[in-house]
Amino acid sequence: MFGLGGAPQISSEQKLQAAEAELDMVTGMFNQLVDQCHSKCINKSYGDSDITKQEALCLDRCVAKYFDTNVQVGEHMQKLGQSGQFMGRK
Amino acid sequence: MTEPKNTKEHVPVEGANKDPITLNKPKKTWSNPALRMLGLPKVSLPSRNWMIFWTVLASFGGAIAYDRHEQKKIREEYMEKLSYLSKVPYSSDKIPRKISIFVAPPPNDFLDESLKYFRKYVKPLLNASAIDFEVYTESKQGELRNAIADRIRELRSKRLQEKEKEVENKSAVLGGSLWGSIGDAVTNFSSFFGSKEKPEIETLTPVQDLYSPKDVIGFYLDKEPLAVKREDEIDQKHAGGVICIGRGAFKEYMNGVHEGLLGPLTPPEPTSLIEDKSSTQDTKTDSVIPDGNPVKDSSNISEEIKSEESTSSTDSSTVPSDVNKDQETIDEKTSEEAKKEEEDDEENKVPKPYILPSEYAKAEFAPEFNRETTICNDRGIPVIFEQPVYTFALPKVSGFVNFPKKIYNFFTRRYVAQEAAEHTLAVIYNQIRPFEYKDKYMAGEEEQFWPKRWVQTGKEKNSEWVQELVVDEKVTSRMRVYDSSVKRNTAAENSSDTETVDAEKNTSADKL
Repeated sequence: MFGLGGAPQISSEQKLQAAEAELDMVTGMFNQLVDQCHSKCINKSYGDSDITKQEALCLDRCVAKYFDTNVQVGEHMQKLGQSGQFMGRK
Repeated sequence: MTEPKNTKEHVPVEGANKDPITLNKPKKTWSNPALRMLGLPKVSLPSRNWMIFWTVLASFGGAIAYDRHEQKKIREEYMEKLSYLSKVPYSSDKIPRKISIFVAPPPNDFLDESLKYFRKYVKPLLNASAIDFEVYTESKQGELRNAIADRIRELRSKRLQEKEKEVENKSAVLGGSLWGSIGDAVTNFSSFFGSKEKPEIETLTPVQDLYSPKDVIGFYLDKEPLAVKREDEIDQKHAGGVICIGRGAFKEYMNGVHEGLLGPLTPPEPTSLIEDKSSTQDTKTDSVIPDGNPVKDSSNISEEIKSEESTSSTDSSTVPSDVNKDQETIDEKTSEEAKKEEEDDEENKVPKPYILPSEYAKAEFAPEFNRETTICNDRGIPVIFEQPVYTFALPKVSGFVNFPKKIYNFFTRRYVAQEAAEHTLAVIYNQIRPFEYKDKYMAGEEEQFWPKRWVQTGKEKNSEWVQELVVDEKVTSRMRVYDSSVKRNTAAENSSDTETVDAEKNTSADKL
């Protein structure tokens, strides 16, 4: 705001927007994650209100795989973007 | 002249209403007197040759189907036995016990075979009992040993650094306090006067440093984030566990542990530039098929892509070596490619051990570790050599003379399934006893079925697997082993100290 240095000027509005976008992304990812892992891991015959050890382990693995997938797909997208193939196809 | 019709009884005259074709057909009768005796209907059997064919086919098919059905039954029986462990209600501040699994390919064969053994016989039981596990695989001889030794050395160097820091701090407190305080006063003085004149320079900080998603989600507005503990932290006696699939994996594990604990932290100087392939075998154990381990797959894929993009070779991974072997078989070696291969070979070669088995006796146990207590890593979980170990012998039979045995094994895999299930139960139920000298031969019966030619070439090249396993008392006195003959305490599987005490008492009684 009192930018005296040579750093690129990012106005507070832009910062807010960036923060909002980040928040949206994070909450979106969280909700998706919860939905997916719930549908995959939790036994629908709700005989018990507690989560069993197997379900807990399954959720653990589900979250790990979700983030792994996220990261790998992101990497691939980056590579596609760099090589220009993605835009070329469009 | 018409004959008077007899209207009282109507006797069917043979051939009256039938055409000649049906008249001349012989009556259906049993071809086999045995069938007649049995009272079966008048079915005609196929010819003798067909009978032979169908009998042989049905007997083989039946044997295989029976064997597989029995395997499935065994698997399901044990899974049901263990299912009560997975139905325990679990709060979110705990994480289940984690087992490390080391898988090495059988000699002269592919990694897939060992993984199949693991997936068929061990994994279902581990999943049924809700135990977490991580699979570490290798494609070349020595990779596991190197990885394990590296990890132990890393831990040791960390401890060393911590100790050195402590020593520094102590000396600072004792000796340098006077100068330290004056120095501090000077800086504080200047900052006190200088603060108003400092211009506010905008720096770009990454968002991760400003806040984490946890702060924003809103879930943690009123609640405290959970401090999650692994069960391994809480119950250290029964923490973790190591499973080796195959005698080779066990040898590598033991060598890795010894090398990490008894060897130096820095690599020794290379003695000569002999291009020796002593750490690799030029058989199928080398060539691979990226293994099915998800952890490794990601690194393989990323490195595959890297090797495509860059002209220079990447650092060690299994895939570039695979690519290189393909080039070799194609036989299109230009000078460039030959150079690249050399570079790759050097970089993909497994580093030589920092200490040889012959030097174990003279070496000192890692001084960085505190030997009185269970050695734990940064997260409070006992290190890998503090966890009990078990090795599964692979049922692979090699050699032409052993062909009948091979056929027999093919039809009796249910026995393998049964044995493997029993031993996996020993791992799951924590039937532990201290390491004894005889345990250095664990799964040793597998070695008699290793291919002889392979063993011979191994001995000539001085490979790791064909050497005899050398264990050192300093290291093995701390180690423990799973044993299915140890008494099991199924009622209290979620440990108490009395469980292992009982186990130890029982083994000593057995010895007497």
